[in-house]
Amino acid sequence: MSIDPIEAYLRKLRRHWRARRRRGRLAAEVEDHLHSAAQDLEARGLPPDEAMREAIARFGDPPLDGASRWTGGKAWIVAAVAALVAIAAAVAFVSSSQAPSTSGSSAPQHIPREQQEAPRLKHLDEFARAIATCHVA
Amino acid sequence: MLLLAVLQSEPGHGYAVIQRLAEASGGAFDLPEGTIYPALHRLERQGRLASREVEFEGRRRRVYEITAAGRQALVQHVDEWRSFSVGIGRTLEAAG
Repeated sequence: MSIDPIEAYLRKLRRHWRARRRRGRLAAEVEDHLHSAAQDLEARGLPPDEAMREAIARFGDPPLDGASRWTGGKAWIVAAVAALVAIAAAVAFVSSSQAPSTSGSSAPQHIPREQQEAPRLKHLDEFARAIATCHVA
Repeated sequence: MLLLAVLQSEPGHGYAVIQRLAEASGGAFDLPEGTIYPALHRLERQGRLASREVEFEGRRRRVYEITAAGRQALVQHVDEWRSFSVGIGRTLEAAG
């Protein structure tokens, strides 16, 4: 009698896409995605109902305004935020690396430069990856 | 760029692309999985991907494949990304 979570999600999508030409194609893709993900999660031991709910949660919010505006309208915001984070991080790196050199020689000067650099480069790598997500398309 | 990268060796459907991204990046990308579809559709409109529908376990499944233009764009994006990344690295080293 009751419908499963994936079917409920798909019905919600179809209602919002009723007037859209591409809805059939995208709805089929969403359906295939959710069922594939739920099957994977079930294979890893989740009960079927929970697997479906988790698949939906990972998929994210449905594109209520239509596919083209789903991320299209927000992409520049993501890019702008990533750029700001990158600039802030670069400024933080520069100021943190300059601070000890002006605060006297009692700091542990014997630490090899490579070891001092390692954590910073690790963070750089992390935010580089974050920026890369803006290049997804 | 990343979508083209994970599709360059073999075609795949959206969920497979998500899995390859997660695997290749060591879990660094934690985006809502659904955001991949508008991106795939855009790449297809730009002629960088081509897609076809197949049947899988009674469902419709759309499989994406990189085109020659997509490979060309990927090479260019990777070059740009590398020089950007090298530039940041050099700036930080010089500043530190």
